Amino acid sequence: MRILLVEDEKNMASFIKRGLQEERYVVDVAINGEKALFLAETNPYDLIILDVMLPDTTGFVVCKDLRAKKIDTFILMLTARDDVKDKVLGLETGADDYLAKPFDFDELLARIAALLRRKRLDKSPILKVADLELNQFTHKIIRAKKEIVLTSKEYSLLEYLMLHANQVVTRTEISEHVWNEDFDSLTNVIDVFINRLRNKIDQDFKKKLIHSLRGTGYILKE
Amino acid sequence: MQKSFRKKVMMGFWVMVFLCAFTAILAFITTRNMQNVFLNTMRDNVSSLKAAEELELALLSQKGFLGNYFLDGDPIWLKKLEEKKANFEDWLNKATNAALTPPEKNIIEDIKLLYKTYESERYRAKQLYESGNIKGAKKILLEDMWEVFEALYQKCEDYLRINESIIKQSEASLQKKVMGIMIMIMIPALVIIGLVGSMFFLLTRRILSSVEDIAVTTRNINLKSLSGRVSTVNLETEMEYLAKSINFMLERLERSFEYIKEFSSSIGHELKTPLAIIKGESEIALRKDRQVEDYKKALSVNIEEVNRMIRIVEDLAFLAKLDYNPDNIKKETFDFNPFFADIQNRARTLAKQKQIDLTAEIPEASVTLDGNKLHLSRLFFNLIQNAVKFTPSEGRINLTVRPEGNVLKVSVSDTGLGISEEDLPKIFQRFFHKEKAQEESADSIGLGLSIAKSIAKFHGGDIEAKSKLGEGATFTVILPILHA
Repeated sequence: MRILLVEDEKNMASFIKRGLQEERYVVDVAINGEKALFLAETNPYDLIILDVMLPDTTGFVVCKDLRAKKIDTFILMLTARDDVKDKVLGLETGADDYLAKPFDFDELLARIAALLRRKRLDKSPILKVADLELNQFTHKIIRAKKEIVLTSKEYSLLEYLMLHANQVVTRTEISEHVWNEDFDSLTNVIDVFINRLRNKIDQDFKKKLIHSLRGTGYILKE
Repeated sequence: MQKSFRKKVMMGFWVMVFLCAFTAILAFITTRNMQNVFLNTMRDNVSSLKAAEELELALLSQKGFLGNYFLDGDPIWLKKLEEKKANFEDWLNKATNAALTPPEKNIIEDIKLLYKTYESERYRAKQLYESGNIKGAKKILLEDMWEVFEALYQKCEDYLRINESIIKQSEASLQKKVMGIMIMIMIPALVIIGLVGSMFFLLTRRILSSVEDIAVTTRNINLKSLSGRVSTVNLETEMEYLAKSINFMLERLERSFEYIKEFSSSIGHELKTPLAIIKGESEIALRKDRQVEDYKKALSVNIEEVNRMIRIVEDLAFLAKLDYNPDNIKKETFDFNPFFADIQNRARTLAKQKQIDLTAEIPEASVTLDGNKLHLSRLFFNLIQNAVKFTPSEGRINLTVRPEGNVLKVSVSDTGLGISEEDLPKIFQRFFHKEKAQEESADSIGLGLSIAKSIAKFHGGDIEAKSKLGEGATFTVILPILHA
């Protein structure tokens, strides 16, 4: 899951980014409205965390501009202003949720997870394909009642594949949702991670779940 | 004295009613006196009445007189009768003039006829007497003239009666007329009292209703609704003045409260950001076991944010002291040039770090100022720091000192980014920052210019800013000179 964090305070952006990364999210940071619009137009984010007080504009304006550009990514407003008026204005301009600073980091995580669940038919935090289970809250992965330990990147990759189970996902799509701005598209880093994932998920089992489609990408299915 | 405006006005109203009533009574008494005087004059004028009374008496006495004198053969009766004739004719003239009504005139005519008869009888008697026919004269006197006397006497009495009744009639009509005059005076007086009274009443009500309107509006005003205004439509000059003054006061209050509201919301924001960072940083550090280096890093971020909060609180306390408790700040008399030379040196060091050229135009002759050197150096330093911050490397900063009359003008100009027209009026506002992300986040808290301005104001001066976007900025500090 890839998140765009729009926050001008250096220290603020720093801890939110670190915290989210620890929760297996992929995070890009924009320090002003202009950069936020550019990044949101370039990359298909799963969620945008938007600060209201920005140096060049306000979060409300950015939110409106994003919606005007038909970018319907979930937006979570994050700000020190906690007037009801501001909350209403934020939600009216197109935000999906609103959180006032200072906030509990757990609440931020819960709200992000809740927003991301919204577009799924199955609202459960547990993703299931065959005997493979992924818990988005605890980040535990179990196959045939056996826990599998994954690194952060491997987890993000598996989560993305499981969210799009039975669908073909291209390398570009993977790079856009699992890697952040620093991704170098010329490397075969995705193939490397898919191989590692295969070793952990499929190697010990008869039934293989991850399949390569030559020239297009990958598919995770029973 | 009554304190209520309404009671005072009501008291004024009653005093006026009393005065009007008093005047009316006075008018009544005056006309009453006038009536009496009028009647007396009229009685005097009816002299005929008196004459008639006299004649009656004369006639009565003549009756006896005739008998007495004539019987003694004394010729004096002729002389006496001559004398009476003059009296009678005099009366007749008066009565003729006084007789105005037809019955009076008729009686006078009758009297004149009788008098002629009487005169001719008298003349006959006189002739007879002079010719020696005393017996004949006596007969005429005692018989013929006597009859005429009786008739005249009767007529005189009729005349008297008529006159008395006429006087009574005119007395009644006069009384009527006086009453008419009284009514003519009283009715307009009452109408005037009524009109003035109701005008008074309406005016009072009007004044009081505007006062009530003001009271209602002001009572409904509280912190949440300072936007209420007293209506100034259709008001008299004085009330309009009052209403406008109240509105002016409300406007200033509203602006002050808006400022305080925005200010406290800004403080909230400014303090919440470091608080959120400290909280978040600590929460993340505690989420799982980490390397010592990670904890150290989290703690140093927290200290950085705590320092930012300390600076905000200290700066705000300093601003509050400058604005609301300036008496505790000590001032001293000092020479400006040596003081500014020190600032110039420090500015040069600061500019050098960013490869900015610093020039200065300072006149030889120094001036003396009265002020707090520590705060003034903070003022100039804030301006110089700003100039350095917004001027790119290879740029230039110029310091100018110029005495102008009673004031000293110190300008700090730079060739930096400049300030947009839109932002220029806001730069002295508290917590106004521009592009703060490009700066060290904990360094700029948006109070520098605000503090500089407050320091200038504390010294009886001011700061003016001139700038255009992309064309640098000039900040001019104006300070009063103690003596050149």
